[in-house]
Parts: sequence; C-alpha cells; structure tokens
Amino acid sequence: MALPFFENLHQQGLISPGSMEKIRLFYAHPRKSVRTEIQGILYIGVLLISTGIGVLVYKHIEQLGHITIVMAILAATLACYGYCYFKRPAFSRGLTTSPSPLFDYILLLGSLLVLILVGYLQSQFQLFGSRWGLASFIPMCILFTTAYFFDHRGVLALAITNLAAWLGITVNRASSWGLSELNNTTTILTASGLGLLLILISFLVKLKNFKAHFDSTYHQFGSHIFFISNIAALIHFIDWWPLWLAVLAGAIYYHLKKAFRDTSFYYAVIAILYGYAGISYLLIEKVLLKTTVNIDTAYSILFYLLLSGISVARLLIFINRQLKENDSILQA
Amino acid sequence: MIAYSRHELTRLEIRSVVQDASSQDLITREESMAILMKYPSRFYSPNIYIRIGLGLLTMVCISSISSIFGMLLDFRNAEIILLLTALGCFGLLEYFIQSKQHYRSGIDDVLLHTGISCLLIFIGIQTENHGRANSIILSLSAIICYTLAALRYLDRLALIGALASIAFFSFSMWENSPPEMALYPCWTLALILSAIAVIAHQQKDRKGANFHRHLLILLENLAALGAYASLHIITIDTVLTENTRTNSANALNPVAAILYWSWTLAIPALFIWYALRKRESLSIRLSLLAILSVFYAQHQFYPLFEHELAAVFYGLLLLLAGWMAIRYLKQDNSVYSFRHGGDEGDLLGQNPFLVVAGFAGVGQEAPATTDTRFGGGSFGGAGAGSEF
Repeated sequence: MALPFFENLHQQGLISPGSMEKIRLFYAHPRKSVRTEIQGILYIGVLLISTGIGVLVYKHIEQLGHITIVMAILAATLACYGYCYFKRPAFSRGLTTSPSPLFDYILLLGSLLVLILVGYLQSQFQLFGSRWGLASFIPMCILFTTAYFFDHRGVLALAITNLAAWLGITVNRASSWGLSELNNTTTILTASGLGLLLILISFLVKLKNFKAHFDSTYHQFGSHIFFISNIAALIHFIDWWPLWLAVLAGAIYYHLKKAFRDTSFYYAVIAILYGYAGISYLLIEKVLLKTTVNIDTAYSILFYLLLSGISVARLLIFINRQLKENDSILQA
Repeated sequence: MIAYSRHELTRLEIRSVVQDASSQDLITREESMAILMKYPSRFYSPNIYIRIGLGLLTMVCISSISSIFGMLLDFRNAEIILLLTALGCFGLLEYFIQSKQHYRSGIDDVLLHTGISCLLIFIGIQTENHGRANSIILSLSAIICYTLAALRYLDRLALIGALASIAFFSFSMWENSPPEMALYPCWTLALILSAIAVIAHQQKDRKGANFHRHLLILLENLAALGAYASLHIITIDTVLTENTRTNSANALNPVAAILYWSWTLAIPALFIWYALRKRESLSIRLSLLAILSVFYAQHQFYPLFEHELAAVFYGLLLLLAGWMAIRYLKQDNSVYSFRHGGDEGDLLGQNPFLVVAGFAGVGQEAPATTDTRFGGGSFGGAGAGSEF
C-alpha cells in the first residue's frame, strides 16, 4: 500500500493535514471502486437486449404476430421511459446529476427501443406511408426531447445520428459504411451543411447556456462530418477544388485555434490528420500525377509521403508541446 | 533488459498513484500538482489522441520507406525488404527510446509491432518449404520475439502476442495428427499455460520484478484464463462424446452434467472470488470476462433459447446483476465501492516503488530546469511533464 509514501509527502509539507486524514481513513477502511466494471456490465446488458429484440422482431413476425410484437416493444419502451420519468432529476438548463447509474442505461435502452418500434411500424404497417423521411424525423424528435429532458449525452448522440439519417446521410454496410454515398453532389453538400450546423449549434448551446455541456457532442459530430465531406468534395468537384481547399484550410485553422483555446489534443489531432489527408490527395492527384506517369512519379509520391509523414509527426509533437505549455498556464 | 530508464519508470508509477489519489478526492488538485512537480517525468508519453495520430503517421512513413526499398530492388527480394524494414524499425525504436525518451508515444508502439510483424513474415517466407516444421519454427520465433519485446519494452500487446504464439505453437505441434489425438493441442496448451500462470504468480511479487509486475499480473490472469478455456474445450468434448455414447436423446447423463456444469460455473466463480480477494482491477475485469463466457458456453453447447432470445435473457440478467451490485455497494459495508475515480493507478496494490520512496524519504527534487510542464499526458490531467 502507498500509505507510507503519502505520510512521507505529508512530512514534506506536500499534503495538508486534512488530506492526510482522508488518506489515513481511506487506508483504514480501504474500498476499491468497481464503477467502471459495473458500468461495463450494464452497457453490455443494454446492447444484448436491444440487439436481441431487434433480431427477434424480424425473425418471429410469423409466429408472434404484428400486434403482439408491437405491444411487447411498446410496453418495454413505456416501462423504460416510465422508470426514468419517475426517477428523473429536476429539470435544469445546466448539467444535472443522474439519480442512479442504472437510470442512464435504462434510458438508453428505452431510446433504442423507440428506434426499433418506429422502424418496425414503418416497415410492417407503413405508418408514415411513403414518407420515409418522417420515419426518421419522428424518432429524431423523440430522441432530442429525451436527451434534453433527461439530460443524456448518449441519447443526444443517437438523435444526431438520426438527424443525419433524416437528411439522407446513412451509414451502413451496404454503402461501405456510407463512404460510397459520398460521391454525389447532394450528399456532399448536405453533409457539409450538417457539419457546419452542428458546430454552430455547439456554439449556440454554450451561448444560451442551455445544456451547455452538450456542446462537445455536437461539435465532435460536426467536425468529423464536415472534414469527411470536405475531403469527399476535394475528390468529387474536379473544377471547384481550389474553393474546397480554401474551406479545408479554414477548417484546419479554426480547429487548431479551438484546440489551443480549449487545450484540446483531440481537435488538434483531427485537424492535422484530416488536413494532411486532404492536402496529400490534392498534391498527389493534381500535381504529381499531372505530369507523365513513370517510375519517377512513384518515387516522388513515396518520398513525398515519407517526408511529409515525418514533418507532420514533428508538427504534431510541436503542437502537443505548445498545448502543454498552455495547460500549465491555465493550471497555475 | 528494460529499454527504458528505471528511474523514470519509478516516477511514472508514483505519478499514477498520485493521480489516482486525486481522482478519488483524497488529495486536492493543488496538492496533486505540487507532488507531480516534485516527481517530474522526462518520458515523452503523450495524450491518447496524439498517440494515435503519431502512430498513424509512423505507419505512413514505414510503408513509404519499405515501398522505396521495394522499388529499388524491383520487388524481387521481398524477404530482404522485410528484413531491412524489421531491422530499421528496431533500430529506430531504440533511437526514439534512448535519445528521444519516447514511452508509449505511438511512434514506439508502431515501430515495435511493425518490426516484429516484418521479422515474422521474413521467417515465414524463409521456412515456407519446410512443411509442418514451418509452423513450428514460425510459432517458436513468434514466442521468442514477443517475449523479448514484452520484457524489454514492457508492452502488453507483445505479451498477448506471445500467449497467442504459444497457442499457435501448441496447435502446430499436433498438426495433421490422427483424429484420436484431436484434443492433444488443447492438453498441450493447458499444460503450458498452467505452468506459465503458476510461474507468473510466484514472480510478480518478487523484488527484482518491480518493473514487470503489471505484465506479470496480466500474464498470470491471461494464462489462467487460457488454460481454463483449453480445459473447457476438453471437458465439453469429453462430455459430448460420453453423452452421444450413452444417451441419444441429447440430454446429459448425471455424471457428465455434474462435470460440465461444475467446470463451466465453478471455475469462473473461483476466478472472480480470487480476483475480488486480491482487489486487482485487471483480475476483476478478466474474471468478469470469464463469467460472461459462462453465458456463451452455455448457449453454445446447451442452448435453452434461440440466439436472439438468449441475448435478451442474458441482457436482462446482466442489468439485474448490475442493479444488485450497485444496491449492495451503496450499503457501505463492502470493501468495494461505486464511487468515481480509481482507474488511474493502483492505490491499493502493492507498490514497491512507493514503499521504497516513502520509507527512504526520497523526495526527489525536480531538476532546476524551467521546462517542466504539466498537462495532457497519458496519465490524465497533469501529464508527463518534461520538455515535451
């Protein structure tokens, strides 16, 4: 145990008597936290249930009948929502404390069941007729309301994914996780717009101080969607690539600025890596492969990748160092 | 043997315990900062995102340089390119560790595993015409490479690679054996892994094994789980054979049933009991994995429901178990709790580094340089400090 170590630090004046008392109390009755492990169990449980029910409804339509399935899912959904409603914390514009760890997982399960229920009703009963957009829009509204009402970031992520689906940006295996859909103008422009919109919302929630802690969820989705659609645009818009390059440069600048402002390693890394991917594509496609393609071109590309890889890695290390300097100033 | 500075490794261990204490609100943030300032680390051990980024860029560089070599040699001698890449990776790895003080920076991770992979592919190509001996030589080489990597670079993935190579070796030994020897690989594997688990258990608290302690704990647990899995396969096979012979109705005879269920349930229960007694996070997590495997084994060999119903049933069971565990922990009479924090270090473990530092009054002063900075390292809020 580390008690003697802390005693030593206490003698050196690095730990106050109050903290030392806490440490002694901790070692007198040592209690190990198993929070992560139990959360893992709950998460696996929710995943198993939602996956199981999802498969169940498709495989057993004939035996169970539509009404039975709908009623069963509806009952389970209502049970989850009912539990969360009665256990919910008082509504606040800020961050609320979850009443219990189980609450978060039950709410997540209820939200997943909503998606299964609406999907089932639309596929079997054409609840929204041929207006498939509504089948995404309605659950999206429910999920956004749920996320805000119960203050749940996991459900917010589901809602944002649903928003993307509603706008026609689907990610599934049939379209190679959505990448093959990024080869038409509408999808690229929609995705770029969605990325920008989500980044804008992240500012708004902070500005209006309405669930300000949701800003990171909005921003992360927004950044990835925007960068991916931007690189897709560089590839797709043959004549307009300079414009998209300028947009990419702007996005890199903005994200690096944000990284320094918030001392965020995450935004620094995505700005650098997405930027590197986009610029490398342009250099290889528009410059190196524009000349006569021969063995020298291959060497040029490989040397470019080698030297640029080293340079970008050095840049990343430099940014890391700079961010730490900022961090030390903030914490001082 | 260890590539890293022992002094710096000790400091990292100390820092992780201090950060653990801070995450559990035992000490204040200011106190934590002051202690971390007293024990700075010179390792370049960046935040996980930077680590991923550097790892990806290292992969780009290695692929480019290998392709350049390949083109220079007209891709005629693939094995030479692989060997050169492997040697280059190991050379660079040593350079980054010794000169640049990299420790889990992403660059060293990728260099290590690319180097080992290239070396193993090279050995595989060299021995491809040797029939069965190829697999045996390859698996033995993999065991040696991964073991040395784990010992020298304290790399957990390399340790897992070494155990996987042992499994590969056990199966290679009995490749093309007659059907009556079908279970021999499992016996071999179970025997080897059991021996490894016992040795790791004995060695982990040895004074000389301070720096490998985390690896030895992982080795002990993984080897024990691997041995259990191998013996489980043997048990199930034996039970199924016995069952087929004696009972055509596909119901277990009583003796076989007792053997099957006691093996399936008792051993994971023993694992979790041992882990809870030892209060080691890693052991607890791996024993939970063993418990989850009970569901899988039960459903795989004696399914009561269809897959989807089993998923719902076991999911509900897990939620119930989680709920009961939380309720129990809230009663405050357990040695376990549900409080935040406690994932950063090993506050309750045996910390030989800290005992030494504490008793000896080793309050190492930070070097008088001004470049000691905190923030964003891979160890949470305060980070590795130093010149990076």
